[in-house]
Amino acid sequence: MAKPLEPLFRELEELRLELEGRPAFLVFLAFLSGCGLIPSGGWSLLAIVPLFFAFRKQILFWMAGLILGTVLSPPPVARIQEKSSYSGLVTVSSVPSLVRDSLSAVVATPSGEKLRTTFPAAMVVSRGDVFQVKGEKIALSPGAFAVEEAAGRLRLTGGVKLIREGPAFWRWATLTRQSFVDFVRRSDPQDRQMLAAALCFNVTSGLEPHFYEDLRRTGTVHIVSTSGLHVMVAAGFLTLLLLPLPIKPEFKIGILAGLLALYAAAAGFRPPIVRAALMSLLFVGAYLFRRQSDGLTTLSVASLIYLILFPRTIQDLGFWLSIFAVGSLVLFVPSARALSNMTWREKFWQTVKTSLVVSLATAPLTAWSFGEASLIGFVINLVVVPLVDLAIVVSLGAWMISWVLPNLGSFVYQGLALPLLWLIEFVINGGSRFPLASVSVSYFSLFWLIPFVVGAFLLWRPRDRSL
Amino acid sequence: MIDRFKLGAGLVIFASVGIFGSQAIPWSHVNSLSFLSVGQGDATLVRSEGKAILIDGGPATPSFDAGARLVVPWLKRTGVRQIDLFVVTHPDQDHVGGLPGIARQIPIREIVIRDDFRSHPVWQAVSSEPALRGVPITYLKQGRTRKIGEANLTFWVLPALGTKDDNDLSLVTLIEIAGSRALLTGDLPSTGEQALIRKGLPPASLLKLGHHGSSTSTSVELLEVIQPETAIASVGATNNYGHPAWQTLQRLRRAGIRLKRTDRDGTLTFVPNYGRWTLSR
Ligand SMILES: [Zn+2]
Repeated sequence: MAKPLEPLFRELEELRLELEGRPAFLVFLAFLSGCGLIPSGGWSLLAIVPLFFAFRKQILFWMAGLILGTVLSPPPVARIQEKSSYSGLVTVSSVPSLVRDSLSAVVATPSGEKLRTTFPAAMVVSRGDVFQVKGEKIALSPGAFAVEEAAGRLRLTGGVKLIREGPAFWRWATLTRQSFVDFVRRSDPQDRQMLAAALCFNVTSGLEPHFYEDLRRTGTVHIVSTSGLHVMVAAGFLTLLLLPLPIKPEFKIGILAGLLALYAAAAGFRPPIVRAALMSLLFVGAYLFRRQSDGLTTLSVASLIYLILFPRTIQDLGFWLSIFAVGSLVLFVPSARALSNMTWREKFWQTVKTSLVVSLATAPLTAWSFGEASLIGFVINLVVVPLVDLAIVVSLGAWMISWVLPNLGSFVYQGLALPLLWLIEFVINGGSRFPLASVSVSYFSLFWLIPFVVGAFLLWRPRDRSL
Repeated sequence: MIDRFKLGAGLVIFASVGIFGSQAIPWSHVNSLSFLSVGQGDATLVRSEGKAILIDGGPATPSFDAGARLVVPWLKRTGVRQIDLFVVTHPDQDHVGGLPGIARQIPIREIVIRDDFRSHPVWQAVSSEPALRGVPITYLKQGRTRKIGEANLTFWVLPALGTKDDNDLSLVTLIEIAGSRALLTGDLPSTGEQALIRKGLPPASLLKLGHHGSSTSTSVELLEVIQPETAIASVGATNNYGHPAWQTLQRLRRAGIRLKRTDRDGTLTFVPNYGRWTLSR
């Protein structure tokens, strides 16, 4: 063995040991490889080779992951090509999301076929509801839903009749979201964008197309769509509210779990949101029980749970974006203890570094999906993310106040939340005007992510972590 | 000495170069307006929210089909998998010649053309091509607006002036994306421009010079009404017509309008920028 390489091998061995101590992460890796087994025609098994050589001791763990992944990997959806009429029952199988002036949801026919459909906005539609419908099945609009779980679209032509209401939980979630949207509308009737509703509950129906473009150019789309950031913030907020209560930690975590589940459901129950809720729960649980939580393990466990429950999520871009964002955080952001020992100056630079790291980590995937990479994303995020955090907490707080004192709630919203929301819009608007705010990136193979991720792991300093 | 961090940084940089250093394609997923370099002819691509609109398909001669050889590769390279709307300004070979070659490789959802050309011999020949059979054709008898993606298209159908020239009947298209407007007049001569002005045109910061910059189009009056910032000449290098004409260039210079030409600058892609258009690359 050549001498100059010896230190490298020693370091790689250290890294190997660190990963070996995180079986959940190995299970997660093997699970992914298992999921890819059939679609890739067996090629994804190659991913197991490094696992085999590096982590022979943990063979049982990752074999379990591999088998689980293979068994659970979602079969490909047979897409509808021909138009046909449909009349019968459908069950709403996703949380309906508000789009422009209708409600978009995936419904399942009794034969199990999933179709995307839109209901009139005035209707109250919740997951699990059963409707009698009449309409025609048509193909998905091309390119619109690359990872759509539905086989096609269902265009409703006749009347829609509610046959049976779904579980109360989903109805509560719908009403929770509606209550917030109503609160925002009541507090500021002029506000058509309803940015607060977008930030807190993923209600993006009011957002103007040009604002979306501004978000893309400044690398901040995640604040209104995919990251689950708002769930993390809300979880922290709820935990702070729960902490002083004189009850056992088990109850606290139970209450928090219930509230977070309702919140995730109200916010659309999209994969990143649910994953964020699970992760928050694991973090808070570790904190309440005074256990050290390891970021990488937490991320792996939360993602695994979610993938086992909803395997098709593995094709969801938002899910992967959130994994890359949170993954970079748990790998490269020092622990809370290390942070508290820093001077203000060091803290500032650490924040800059964090924003840069997250922007870099998510850049390849956003570039792949939007064909665009934001150059100023990390600067804008640096300013916007704390503002968004604050705006979420203030808006949710004002809404909660309004349950008891409606006028005070609106007053707090107008006085505290609105200026924050204006500031957020102002920064995003201004940032997008830079001529070089973003550059276009051509289509590339996702195999480029392999050296990218492996390189990132080599840059990881395990001793610095322990969140 | 190699350590793990150098190796890691090396891998990340390697991957980043592979991902971001690959040939940049302008704005394939956002709003854009591209004037394709197709030689002596017209082909303008509008993209908005994943939708694609093609206005004219470039020229085709027996020896060279710009539609199949230039337009299709560009569409494929920029990720256009189908054309949601194909607009025919008028059925001259330099505008419609490339259409069959495009349709053979890229599905077209709908074609728009003036009703006056319904029985035009060139159009009869083009539309009876096997590749175009089954594509719905909308024959416009009067002006109309369409919204595709975020792009608002306004079509003007100007009255025939008693002439037999196809150019006079060019379908005029005003494109508006996110507040930025561009005017495409096909091969409309200045008499048609007068009629157009009377219809009440809003200003547009981008103007594709009518009839490839011929001296008989792009009147001073039109420039005054449109007040473009940039003018595009869609012309072939050393074309036989002397396009763009020096008279036109002089009118532009007097009005302080910047000129871009597809023969020298290649394909020009613009993105809307708050009422104006920014040249993307
Ligand atoms: Zn022409």
